[in-house]
Amino acid sequence: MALAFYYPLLRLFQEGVVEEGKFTLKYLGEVFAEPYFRHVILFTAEQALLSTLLAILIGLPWAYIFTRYDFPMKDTLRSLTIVPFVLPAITVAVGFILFFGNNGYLNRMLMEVFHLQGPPLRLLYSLKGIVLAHAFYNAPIITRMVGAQWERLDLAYEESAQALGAGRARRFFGVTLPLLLPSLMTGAALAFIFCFLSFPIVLALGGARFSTIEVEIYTQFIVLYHQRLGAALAIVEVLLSLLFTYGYILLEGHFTRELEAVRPRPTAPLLRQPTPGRIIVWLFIAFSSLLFLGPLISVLYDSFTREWAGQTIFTLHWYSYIFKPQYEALIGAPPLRAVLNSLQFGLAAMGLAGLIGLPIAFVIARYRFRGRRAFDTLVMAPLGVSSVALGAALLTAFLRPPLQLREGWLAIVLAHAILAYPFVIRAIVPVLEGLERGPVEAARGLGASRLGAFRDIELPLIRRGLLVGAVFAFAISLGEMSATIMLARPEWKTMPLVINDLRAARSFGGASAMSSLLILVTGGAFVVIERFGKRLFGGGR
Amino acid sequence: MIQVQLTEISKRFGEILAVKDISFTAEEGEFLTLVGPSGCGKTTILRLIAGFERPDTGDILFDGRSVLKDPPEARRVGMVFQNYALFPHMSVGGNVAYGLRFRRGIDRGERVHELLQLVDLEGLERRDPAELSAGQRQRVALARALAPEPKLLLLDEPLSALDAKLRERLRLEIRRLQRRLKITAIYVTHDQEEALAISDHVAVMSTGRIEQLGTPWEVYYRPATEFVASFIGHGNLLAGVITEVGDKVKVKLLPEGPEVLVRMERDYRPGQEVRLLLRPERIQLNGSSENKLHGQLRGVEFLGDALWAYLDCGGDELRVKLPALSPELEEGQELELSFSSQDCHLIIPSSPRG
Repeated sequence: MALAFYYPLLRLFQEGVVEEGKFTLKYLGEVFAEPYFRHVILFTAEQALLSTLLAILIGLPWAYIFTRYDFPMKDTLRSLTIVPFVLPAITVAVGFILFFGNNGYLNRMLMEVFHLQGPPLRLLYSLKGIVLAHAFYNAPIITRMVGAQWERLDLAYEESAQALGAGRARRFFGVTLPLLLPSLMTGAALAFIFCFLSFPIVLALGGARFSTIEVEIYTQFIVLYHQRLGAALAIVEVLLSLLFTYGYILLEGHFTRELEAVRPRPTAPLLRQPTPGRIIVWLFIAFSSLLFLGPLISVLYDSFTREWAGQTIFTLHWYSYIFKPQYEALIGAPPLRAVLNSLQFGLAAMGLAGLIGLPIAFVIARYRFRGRRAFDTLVMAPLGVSSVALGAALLTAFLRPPLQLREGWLAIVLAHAILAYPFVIRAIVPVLEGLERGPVEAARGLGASRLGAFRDIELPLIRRGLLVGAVFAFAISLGEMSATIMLARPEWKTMPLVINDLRAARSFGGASAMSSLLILVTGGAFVVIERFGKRLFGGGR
Repeated sequence: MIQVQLTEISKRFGEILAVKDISFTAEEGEFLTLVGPSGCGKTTILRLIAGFERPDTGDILFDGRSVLKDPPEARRVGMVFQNYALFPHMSVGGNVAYGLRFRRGIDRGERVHELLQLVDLEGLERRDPAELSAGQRQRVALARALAPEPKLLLLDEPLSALDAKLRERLRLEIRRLQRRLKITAIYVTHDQEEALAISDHVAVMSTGRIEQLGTPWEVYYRPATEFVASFIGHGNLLAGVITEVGDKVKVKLLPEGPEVLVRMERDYRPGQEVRLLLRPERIQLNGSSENKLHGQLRGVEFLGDALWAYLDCGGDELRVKLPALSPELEEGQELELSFSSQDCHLIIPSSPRG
């Protein structure tokens, strides 16, 4: 763990501040002195803040709808709010380009309907596009966290406010909102961190003019070969994001408390005769469906269609394309190779993440010791470190002397495992904590050694958590692009990288087909996680 | 069958001294019960004996040999847990057979069958523990603990999750099983009635100490401390002062009660302040015993097989157990009660502990 994560980070830091054996602040100074970099840092924060606000604007009403109304498929929809944790960002980016792009399905439809000459919505390659895509990702997180608390909020609070004469608005702002604030703050903090560190979406939707720290590190390292400058940027970003993450952990620890509903909240059927309130809710649902479903359906539709002599025809061409074993110039490798790479890395990362995560989960769940909080934070730090910076760190540490790995692709597996194992821990710890000590002690009393009791009792009992963690790790590895892009040589390319290449080459058919495949696999992962995972990430049911 | 001896055992959890300097011995084949309110340290003692906790001071001896260095699996102790702690991923048979994995030379299938027969659960080998009733789960837990032929059986509130009727039946079964298998047993409960019913000896505990260790009869009729007197059974503890010491002791009830005669038990001094313990069922309405008490009836509770009558006798309220078919009683009525000097027990109040 220390070797895999903290050593590379140190090496990266060293790269940023040590030149020819001497300590220098030259590059760090450059980062702060150069107006361009200052602009990038501010823009990173600005877009993250705006994205978080939009996510709250969309996520909070959904939390209300879940709390207040009954409608078909409510449980399924509620489970879908976990999708952002597993849906690869690059597939969403492709979906956004296809749907919201200037020549995208939405604009084309609007032009058709209103007989317009040019596209009415110019969203992409601007701040708007980035913020919208981030809202797609983070609104469900807000909904999930706030909704879980809202549904458990005892009605008596509101009723007593009502009995005291408070009107609707005063009840919401005076009673309900303050009670929801903990979950809202925690969710918003998480969303902010995700947006701050987001890479594929900004890379794909920001165009040339909009760059965040994350994209800039990539540009400096990979495109311009300014490694020291990139490292200095990474230092700034890692410190900032660790600060945010620490804040988040504090928030979470401070606010986590169980509110058990004494009475279940009454819900009203949503699909009844329209009232002004219902109509607003319907309109809101229609609008947000456009945001959520539009891009995904566009990807699927696009993967099965092709323009042919001015006609749209349905075809499996793109699917045969992505399984092609021959070299493809747009990618720099055979597409099939990338699919196989993804599977191979995914399985390896899953195993490695399990090996790292299981012992740590065991320690966290079972032992109370001094400095446990610090231990938790150190162990969970990868959650808050940018993936691009991690990639850069592993690149510096393991693909260069003195510790150059013979099998360079192991660095990719390592990156994926580091990014995934906190999820393994989060999947296992609640299960382990839910285990009573009784069965283990009973086994020992009957003659089992400590290890024997672990093997016979604890391991079988946490297998669900283990399964969820493994699936999570696999899905994360499969969708991971930010760290991989820093580490991958052409022959190590993975599916998200291929999607990105094809997107950059504006060959969307292949990108869509591969995205659809990824969505399918990660969607399957999501089904497993929702079936077996218990109360992950505040999503209690 | 072994003898278990604890000598000056103490155990601290952080700031809390859970067990303070406890010593006792459970003889071979004895059924010893630790009883006390929750938090008194009784479960900790059990866990110390089983080896799940290590004592800070003192020693634990099995047949005179210290077992402190032995891990739980080496102590050959059968333990029944409060919530049964059945392995949820194993069948009933799997649960019972688990301990046999670590014993050689036992035919597992036969032994499992034998034990399930013993606890009246024949034919349920393949069931899932979740499909069983609470009482059946308790029996499985018992069978599982007994399967590897332990030398000592530890039971931690095994019946507390069951309803009252089932509790009574199962405690009888546990007791008979223990007698039949001739196994030393240490039992923990907060239910004093259960403790009296099931045990050879009872250790009454409070805040990490043993207040009294004795037979059920002793702790009920001859409690050593006020705590024991009030924790075990229903008791009237009347304040009094000794006025004369002779063949019998004369006690003047405070503040303005009559003088009563009490059986001589040990050296008493005139002028000593005492508490007089009078069990409600040892008091008669009218009657001819040597001690008389008058009081005004404040209320009656009907229990089915008896009545509780509450009387105002000047000092503390007196609780009396009367036959269910007592003559009509009316609130406010003056009653004459009598009780024998043999049924009185004196407790010298201890000075408050530091």
